[in-house]
Amino acid sequence: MTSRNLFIYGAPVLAGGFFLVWYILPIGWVVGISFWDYSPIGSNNAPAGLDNFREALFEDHVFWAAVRNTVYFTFGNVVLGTILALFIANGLARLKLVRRFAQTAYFMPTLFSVVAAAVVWEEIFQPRFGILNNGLYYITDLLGLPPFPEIGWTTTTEWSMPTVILFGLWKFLGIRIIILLAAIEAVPRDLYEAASIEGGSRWQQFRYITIPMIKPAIWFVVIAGVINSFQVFEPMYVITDGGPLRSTISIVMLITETAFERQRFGYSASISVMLFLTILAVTAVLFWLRSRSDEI
Amino acid sequence: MPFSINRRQIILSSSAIAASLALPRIALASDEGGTATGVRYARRDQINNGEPIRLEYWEWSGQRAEYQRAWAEAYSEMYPNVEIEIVLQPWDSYWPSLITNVPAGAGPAMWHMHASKMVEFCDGNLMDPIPASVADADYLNHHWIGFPEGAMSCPGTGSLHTVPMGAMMPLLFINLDKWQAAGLTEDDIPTTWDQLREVAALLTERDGRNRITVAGLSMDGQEWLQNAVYQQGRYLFNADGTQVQVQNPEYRAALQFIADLVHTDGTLDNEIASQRYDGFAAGQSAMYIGFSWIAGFLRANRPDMNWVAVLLPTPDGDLAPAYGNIRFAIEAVVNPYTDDTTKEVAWDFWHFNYSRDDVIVEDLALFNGFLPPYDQVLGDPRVEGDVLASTMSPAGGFGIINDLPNVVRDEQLELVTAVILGQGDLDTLMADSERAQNALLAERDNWNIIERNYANHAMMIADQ
Repeated sequence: MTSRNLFIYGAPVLAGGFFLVWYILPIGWVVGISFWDYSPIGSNNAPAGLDNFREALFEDHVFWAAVRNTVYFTFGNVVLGTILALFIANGLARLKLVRRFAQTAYFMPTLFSVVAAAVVWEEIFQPRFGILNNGLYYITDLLGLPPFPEIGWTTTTEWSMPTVILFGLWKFLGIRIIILLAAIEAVPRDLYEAASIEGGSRWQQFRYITIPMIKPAIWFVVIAGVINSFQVFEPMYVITDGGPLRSTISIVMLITETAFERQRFGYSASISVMLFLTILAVTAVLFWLRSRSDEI
Repeated sequence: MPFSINRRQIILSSSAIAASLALPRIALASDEGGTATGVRYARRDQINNGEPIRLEYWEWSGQRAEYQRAWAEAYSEMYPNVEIEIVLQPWDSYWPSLITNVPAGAGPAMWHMHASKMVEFCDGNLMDPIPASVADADYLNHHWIGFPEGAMSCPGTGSLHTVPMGAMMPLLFINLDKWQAAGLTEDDIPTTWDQLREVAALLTERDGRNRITVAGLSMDGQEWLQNAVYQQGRYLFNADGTQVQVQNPEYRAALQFIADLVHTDGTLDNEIASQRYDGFAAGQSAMYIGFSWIAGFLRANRPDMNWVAVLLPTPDGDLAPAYGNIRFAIEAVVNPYTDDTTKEVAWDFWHFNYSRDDVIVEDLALFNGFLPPYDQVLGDPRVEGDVLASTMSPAGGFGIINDLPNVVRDEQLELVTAVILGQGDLDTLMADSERAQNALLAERDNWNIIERNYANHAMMIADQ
């Protein structure tokens, strides 16, 4: 066999082998053990049929808490994050002088390790001794305003999830801004000039030119945001450890806890399968909505 | 130290440490000194035929790794062909790594074990049984705490895989600077729950916004709950250890104590409670209830801190019917999936360490804030002179040996957090927690619940 043929036939085999070993087999394994009462260190591994799925859906209240929390996080992170990124990107597109600096500043958090950043945030948001509450108190005091109250950012069930969402916004805003800014800059300038001549306001230009023209980029940010948010783990794990009272436990945290702390790998796999199917379904719906919006 | 910590010892007229630990003491012939496993360690001419061999020993505590490295160096001096590397792994990834690597034959030769993981590791046969060539099971049973009670054996099989490094008990840690600043003296050391609440109120400090800056008392809520329930004569589990018993007056009283601290006395709040022992080390609480290992943490991390540990107050000041929980820390286990040569060297290293009383007394026990679990070293001047060991000793006979399943600990902690946050009335929270704990316990047949092997079982509430 010549080296050319070796390349022609070998490359697909190598790529296929890689895909098989690192994707197909692990996914198949997870799907397989989701129907088993299985642990790699268990001595009573046995087929469980649909029991794992039934337990999660109808008996495990922590599973539903994790689902609620994940949806809450996804909604907050994607909706707020996209809107915020859109307005900031639109503003930066007009502020040529500070654009590069602002772009770098917004993108900087994306470069930090999630865990390292979350540890710092945990210290900042510590309600009694952290700098956020105390800083806001001193500022309001200095300005003669009503004193800023002590908010239990990470220690109360009301505030823990908003705090994690806030972290998510800060951490992932930069990449969204970069994507949307690139899309906005690609919009032909003559469209804005024509609108301006016709007397279109800034808002009208944004609403009727910018948004329709960058719709593919917005959909990309939304779909990628949804997929990432459904799989969120580190921010909750580091900032709140899923608490207090499981108010911030996410589905992936539950998967990890079930497998490695309770040694119920089969049950954990069944939750993974449900998460996978949910992400698949939600993504399919989003793509369908996107294609519908293109038709309109 | 401005005052002696032995006041309660005097009050209780404690006997010798060993007697109070209710350990059987069998006199040994003098030539058997240093044979803590019942099999004398004999240095060989060479090991592994003098061929180079490298072993990994996993650990999650940098504090312990220091003396483990010294053991490894001492062993390598005897056998220069052996290299033992102490590998630090963070706690969070430690157990997942072991669970996945060991059965695949890729784990370390040895690792530092944790008592709370014993049941799962027994299930999966992830620990090599102690060979008869390095330890005599009968000797361990007679001279080491935890073996007769069943705490060290695998449920079902009864196999032995490790020995404890120390026994720990709950204590009340006091920040002496804050104690003295509040005008308190040795006579004010609380011995009852009511007195504890009173001094906590005196020690609490607030800022100009009426926020607690120093809580009078903080605690690991789960540990308080377990000990406070035991102190009232109530076990945590039913007789066969398959279900918890939560909905009872004793459990309620233990929770009510925390609720009173937070919602009535205002001596603790959620913000400081969530800081746990780190908060005590940082001066955010004046007193802290936790297990004696915290002493090791304070010595290593806050050597400048002026603190003392005293016995935990009980409802009425008496140690009977029970003082609290005795837990164990355990040391190395050997990987059963590694090759025979590595296993042989690993067990020899293990045997070498346990053949040295200095290691048992100083490194394993006192350094970490534990009582040595081996009766032959309890008369050692270093043990008798150790303030922490002598503080714990009067309560030893009233300690209930039992290591809780992690799932129960987590649920208890959730329950205490709910009480601190005022998330509902106690009875509803207790009913919910009982349901949740029992659902988790149902995931296994045998959790090795041994609390009813308590030496003073007759003093506990009957027919529970």
